[in-house]
Amino acid sequence: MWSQLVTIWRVFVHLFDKKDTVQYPEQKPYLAPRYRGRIVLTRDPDGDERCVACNLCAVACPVDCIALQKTEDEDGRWRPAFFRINFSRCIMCGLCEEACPTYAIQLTPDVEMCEYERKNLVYEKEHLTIDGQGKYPGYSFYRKAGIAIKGKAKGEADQEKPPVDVRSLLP
Amino acid sequence: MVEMELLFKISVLVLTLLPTAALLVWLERRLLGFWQERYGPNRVGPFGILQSLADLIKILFKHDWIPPFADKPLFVLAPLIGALAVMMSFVVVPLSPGWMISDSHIGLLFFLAMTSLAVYAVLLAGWSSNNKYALLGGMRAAAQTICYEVFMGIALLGVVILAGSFRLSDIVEAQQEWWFVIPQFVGFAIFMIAGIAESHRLPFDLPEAETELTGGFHTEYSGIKFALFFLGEYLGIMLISMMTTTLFLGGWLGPWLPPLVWFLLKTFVLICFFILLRASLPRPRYDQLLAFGWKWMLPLALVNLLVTAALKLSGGT
Amino acid sequence: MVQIFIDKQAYEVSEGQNLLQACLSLKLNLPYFCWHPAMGSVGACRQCAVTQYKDEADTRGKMIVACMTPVEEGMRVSLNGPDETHFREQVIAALMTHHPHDCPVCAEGGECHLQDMTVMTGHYARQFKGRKTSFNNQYLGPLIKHEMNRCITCFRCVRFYRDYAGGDDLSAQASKNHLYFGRQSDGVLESEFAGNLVEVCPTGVFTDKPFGDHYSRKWDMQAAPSICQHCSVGCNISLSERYGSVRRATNRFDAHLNGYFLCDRGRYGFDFVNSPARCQQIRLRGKPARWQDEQLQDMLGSSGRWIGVGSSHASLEDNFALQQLVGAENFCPGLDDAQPALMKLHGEILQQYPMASLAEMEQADAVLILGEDINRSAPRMALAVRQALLNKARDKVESLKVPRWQDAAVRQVLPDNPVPLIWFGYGESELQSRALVQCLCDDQEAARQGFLLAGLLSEEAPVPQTGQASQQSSQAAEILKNARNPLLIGGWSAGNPALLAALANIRKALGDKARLAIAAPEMNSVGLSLLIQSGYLTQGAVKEALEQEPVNLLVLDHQSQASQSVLTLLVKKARQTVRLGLLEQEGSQDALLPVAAFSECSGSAINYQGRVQSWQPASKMTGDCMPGWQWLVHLARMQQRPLADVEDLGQLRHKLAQCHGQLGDVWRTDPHQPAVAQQPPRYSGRTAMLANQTVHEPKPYQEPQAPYRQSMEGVDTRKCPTRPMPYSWWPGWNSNQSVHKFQDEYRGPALPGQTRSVAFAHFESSCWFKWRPQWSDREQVGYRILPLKQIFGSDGLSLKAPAIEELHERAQLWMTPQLADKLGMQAGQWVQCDDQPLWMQAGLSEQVPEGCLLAYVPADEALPVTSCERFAVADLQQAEAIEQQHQGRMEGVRERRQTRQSWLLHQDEFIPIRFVEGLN
Repeated sequence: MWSQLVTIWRVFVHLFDKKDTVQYPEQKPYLAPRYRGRIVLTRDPDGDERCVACNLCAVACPVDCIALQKTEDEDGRWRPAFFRINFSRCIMCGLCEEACPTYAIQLTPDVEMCEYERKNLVYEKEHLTIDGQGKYPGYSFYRKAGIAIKGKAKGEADQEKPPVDVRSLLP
Repeated sequence: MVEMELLFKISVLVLTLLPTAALLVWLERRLLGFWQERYGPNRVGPFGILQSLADLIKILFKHDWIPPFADKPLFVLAPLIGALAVMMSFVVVPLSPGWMISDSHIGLLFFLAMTSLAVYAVLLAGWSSNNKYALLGGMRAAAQTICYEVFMGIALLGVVILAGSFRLSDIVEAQQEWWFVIPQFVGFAIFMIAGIAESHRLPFDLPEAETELTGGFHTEYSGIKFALFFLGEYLGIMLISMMTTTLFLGGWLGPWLPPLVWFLLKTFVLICFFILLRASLPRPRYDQLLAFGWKWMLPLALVNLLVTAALKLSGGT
Repeated sequence: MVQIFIDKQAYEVSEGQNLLQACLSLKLNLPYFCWHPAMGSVGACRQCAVTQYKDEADTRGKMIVACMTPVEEGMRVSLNGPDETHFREQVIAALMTHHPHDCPVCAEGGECHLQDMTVMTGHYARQFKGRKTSFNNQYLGPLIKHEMNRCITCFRCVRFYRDYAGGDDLSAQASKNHLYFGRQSDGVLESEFAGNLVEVCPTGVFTDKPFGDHYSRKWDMQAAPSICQHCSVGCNISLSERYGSVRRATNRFDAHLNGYFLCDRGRYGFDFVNSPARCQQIRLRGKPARWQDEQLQDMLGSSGRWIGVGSSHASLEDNFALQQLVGAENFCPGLDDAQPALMKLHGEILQQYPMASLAEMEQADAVLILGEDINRSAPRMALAVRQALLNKARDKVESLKVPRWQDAAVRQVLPDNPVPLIWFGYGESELQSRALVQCLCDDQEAARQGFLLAGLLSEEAPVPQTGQASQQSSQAAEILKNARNPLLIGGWSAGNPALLAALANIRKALGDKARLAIAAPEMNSVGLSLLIQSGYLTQGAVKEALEQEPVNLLVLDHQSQASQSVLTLLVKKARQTVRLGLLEQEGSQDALLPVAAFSECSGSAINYQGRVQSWQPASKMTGDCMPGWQWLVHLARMQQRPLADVEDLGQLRHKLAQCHGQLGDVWRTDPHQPAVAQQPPRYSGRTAMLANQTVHEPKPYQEPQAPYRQSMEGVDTRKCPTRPMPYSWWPGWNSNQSVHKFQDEYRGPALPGQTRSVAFAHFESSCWFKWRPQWSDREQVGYRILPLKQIFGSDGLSLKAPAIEELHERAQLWMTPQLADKLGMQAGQWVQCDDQPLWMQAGLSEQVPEGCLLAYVPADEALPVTSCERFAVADLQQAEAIEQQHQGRMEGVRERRQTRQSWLLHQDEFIPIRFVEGLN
């Protein structure tokens, strides 16, 4: 009984405490850089699209709101022919970012993206792509990958030996 | 002429009670907010005071849905009984010497009768919904009301013995010297607890216990009918607060301020206390609730009655 | 059955197999790379290491490699002990040291055996800090992409390519970490089975190039069980769709037919369904029209006699609907005059003898091929025959107490233990070069020798009056007599029914130990032989009818130029012609109704064995397309003909089964069985792929009561015990290797839903076929022209697939060097026969019978003569013009491929939401 009375008293005393609420539109809260808000597609240090259309974000997405189609350009890079996120379905879970092997897809601290028309929440590649590298500066997937692209022949990636001479008898 | 005055008083009462109940919702949400270090609804109107109005408009426009499996007449009747029974009780509440609709000589009995009636609302709602959760809620309400009704009446008899009357204005007048809360503190505590249980407020809201019964007796209710249940509940809080004020806290009595203001002030403090209980106490288990009622409250109330009667007989005070 | 203990648990497994196979049959997860169910064991990768214990008391045991260890009674092994688990992880770790960081940009990703096995062994982080080896890739043609960096040197590719399929232009080069699998130099892979490297390679060294151009991950593709449309074998394939277009065809395991492998025509030929030349619109006299147009309605509803021309490219249901609509007396099964007789005879033979499945062919210990080049006309059949050639070697190693699946041992003794292959015929091919007994002759002589051979085997067999059994025939008779499982193979390629009759006679003479297989030219040729049992019109009769009275012509699609030129003649005489067309063809109709391709609707075909096989739609119909039978039902309603009461495919099939009782309940499905979802459980993008058109997600389209659903709703492929599976997948097994989870043993009992259903089930008592003198008529003057086929080119449908069009060969005329000398021609020169406009490239070969020429004519050209006297050789200018024309065409092919590519990419964004549900 006593403990109940103490509880009542302690709760009552909270009346005079400072409120934790942030009065949102007037008062902007601090959102950490890794906050999970609007999704963007970043570029690598050379300014090329990072996305290689591997489809891992799409398959990781629990609400299936990412659709894309791979295409391969003259320079040998894989790119999305289209890349669409239906934000009216997105739950900002960040699994796409976790899945992305090239740091292309990233979530940003921007959360203010309301629309009166659902259609306007469908973002295409040109709406998603930003000019910078986002949270992971300096990473370029093709520097690590084994495939040859324009400007990087076989054996020129990081930690690669020059191509083997098949005709050589040396081991 | 007397009838005209009565009619006027009734209309004023009804017209103030309804918005006040709505305001109470807002008050409760704000207070809960404060006790949880939040603000609560503070956007609609000044201090968010119009929040309830907005909610009301919304709830009135909701689909007035009656489940196809429900017992339709009872389903419609139940919320009406609930709201009406509580509102009827206000007839006997003496707000101030000049503000009584009916200064009946059995006012207290009338109040007890009406609060007992209110349980039919819950019981019928639970029954007519034809839903297992609703039925369980209704059953709990019935058992809980029977249990707490008994010692609520017995606890009040102490007051009646002291005042020597069932007339509520007499009871208030009898507190000129001492508020009955002092000689009848045990009765006061028991009445408060029973009152909370009667109005299904936390921590005794087992009939609707949303975490286990998804809303209990009003699971199937929506729209205006749900609003009536809601109205009944908040009117119930006001009623119990007013009755406690009348019976134990000296009603309108008090220095300097006009009687009505004293009355309302005391009521307000009690209402806030009700809300504070909600903010701080967890819900007991159902068997604990009944055990508490039958094994502790009832004997305590009987002892209180016996002691009061014995003192009255022996001392003559 | 023997009892073995795996991780102290007792299991019953069948004898004679290796431990790896036994574990996989028990659905246990044991990683492997170099082993392949069809190719036996070599024990190269050491990935399937397990620990074997002497007895119950033995706690240390010794490490063995499961794929090289036969199961024995009471054997005790552990798969999941710490030692072998660590060992296997270390093997993967070693394999992965040089594997590039490529998965996101690798077309194998998501269905990669290496990925699966790496996850299975628990190797998750690279400890190797050194630099990785890199390789330059090779250009291997338009079908296969090479990415050598990814190789883990399991040797599966060369084992398949060289040992299994007999190719010789892919080999292992260099050594150790420099090991390289490729050709001597860049160039198109020559083997017609090269496409299987895509599925054989456990990782992404060889990937499907046309699929890679319009790529999608396996988990994203809606798949359907389908049937290859490009020859009469009817291999089981799985078609995959994404964003409304069909992306690829993969092998669908079938115990009787294709097993694990397809030929390249089947794998890449499906692409015609994405061709821009596909008919999409109703056309009236060349102009787009609508169904409601009065003129069209008048034309289609016109009374009077209608003659229907069926097609062996169309499904059984379409042909049947046409036959029902016009009546059997007005139904012509095709425009090739030689075919009806062959159809008839093939049907008769099927009623007498069962035909060998490919699995049965692989069991043969003597093979006779009579006048058919199955390497070209039914490549998958040739691959099966190739495997039969190993049987003697397998018996030999078994007699030396080495298991049959010890592939290296079998190859070792192979040269001394050949299976006798007897070859009567003409032309050079892989099987011909491996024949033990060879007889170079034209089809007529081959047939005559066949009859004589039957005579040698049995006294009762009727023999031709003239001619004498050659020395090869008597050799053949000896071999066949002594063989336990002789296999007899023939076909329609030469257009000579005598060959079929001769084979049937040999089959009868040999009795039931012999197996018979006759390759028909197109996927549903045998289906038409079922339909025309009650009578038909020949092309000549159609012509006559057209001359006598005004007749309407209703034509099912035709692909080859030869039939197109016949059709053009008929159209001129007909009152009006309505064509149900799949691909656009100039001026061969008054009205054109576009029909859905096999990837868009359900249908059935009967393969060379008489087996009825059905396919399911993988994608949706676009434009005005409808299944052929549905158009015909609409026509029947307008003309108030018998077909009018048919509402859906089920009713049509019911009708078909009523007309041909032996079909019985081929198509009956259990209505209580839940439908199978065609989309894998991880299908992605569902709420975004249509969002640019509408944010209101449309309800998934489905045929009512269809056994398959084009959505994720329905049971998954693993839980459909009696239906062909749309795709093969099992948790932890994303690659096609997952198929072992569905089957008991390699080529053991059939997969569920693959039980035999034969359209010619009742085997009548067999009879001898009599030799007919007209079979050896030689009225032609000059040289006989014998038809020759090519894998890429002889089939009109697959020619519309850009990759195959790029590879298709130009018309060729083969002759002996002696004849060339006599005519003053040289190899490579361009030649015209008589006055035909077709230019053919001369080739020299010893395998041309005397007095004959071999002509290969692609399906989009025609050479309507069977003999010729005069030749015109192109002069320099002409040759240059021909060459230029060809260059222009190849340029066109590449250009079309480019435009098609961008068109497909554009289409991906605009998936048709509106689906044609009927035109009412």
